[in-house]
Amino acid sequence: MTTSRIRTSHQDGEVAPNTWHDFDWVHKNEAELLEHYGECVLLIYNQQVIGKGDTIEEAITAAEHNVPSDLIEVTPITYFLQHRHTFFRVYPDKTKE
Amino acid sequence: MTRIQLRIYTDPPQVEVFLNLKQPNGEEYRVAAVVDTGAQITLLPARLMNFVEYRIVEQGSVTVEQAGIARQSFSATEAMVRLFLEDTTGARTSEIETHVWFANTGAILLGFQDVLDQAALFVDMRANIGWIERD
Repeated sequence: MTTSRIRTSHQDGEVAPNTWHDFDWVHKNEAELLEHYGECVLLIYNQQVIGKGDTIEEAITAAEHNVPSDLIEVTPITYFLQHRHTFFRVYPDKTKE
Repeated sequence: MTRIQLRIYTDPPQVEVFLNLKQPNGEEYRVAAVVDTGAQITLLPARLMNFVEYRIVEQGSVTVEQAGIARQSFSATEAMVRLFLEDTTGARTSEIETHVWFANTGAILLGFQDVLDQAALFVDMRANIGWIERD
């Protein structure tokens, strides 16, 4: 849990205005994000990556530095960025070369 | 029964649903989960363990052997968590207490035990619609 301006949790039934748009955005841009950031935890707010880390805590710390100081609270979504299916990374069969 | 609309993607093909995981302070942590009819138990990243309420079950640490051609195995912590399924229309299930595996992964997979095995699941990839019905 965190008491910082970066609010990654919510009250029962609460949905921040950015939430659904940000989930859609990260899905649409997942390939580009993977290429740019690699496998990691991302915090996304208003269709921007505001924090990145190996853990949620690191991503929150990064977001604290990245979010403008005049914002009292931000409500990012958390996304665990990773390659989807190892099975689907297909390589040429060298025995047939 | 509550009907939860699923998020249907075609490129790459994937069916997702939102989970709200209960935290010790009563708040919730929202993540998107892949509906995985090949998953015996729901799988969560171990990195969430500092952010959600859980209770480790008796056997605690387990080794999971993946089925199929991969023949891989990984370590996991088996625990109980409380969660809700949710969709963008505001529909929510009642609280579900379920077994999960916490593992060193970024994958979030909604599996059978306590969740899909108590639900009706419908997916039409041609029409891009799908839902889960559950109490």
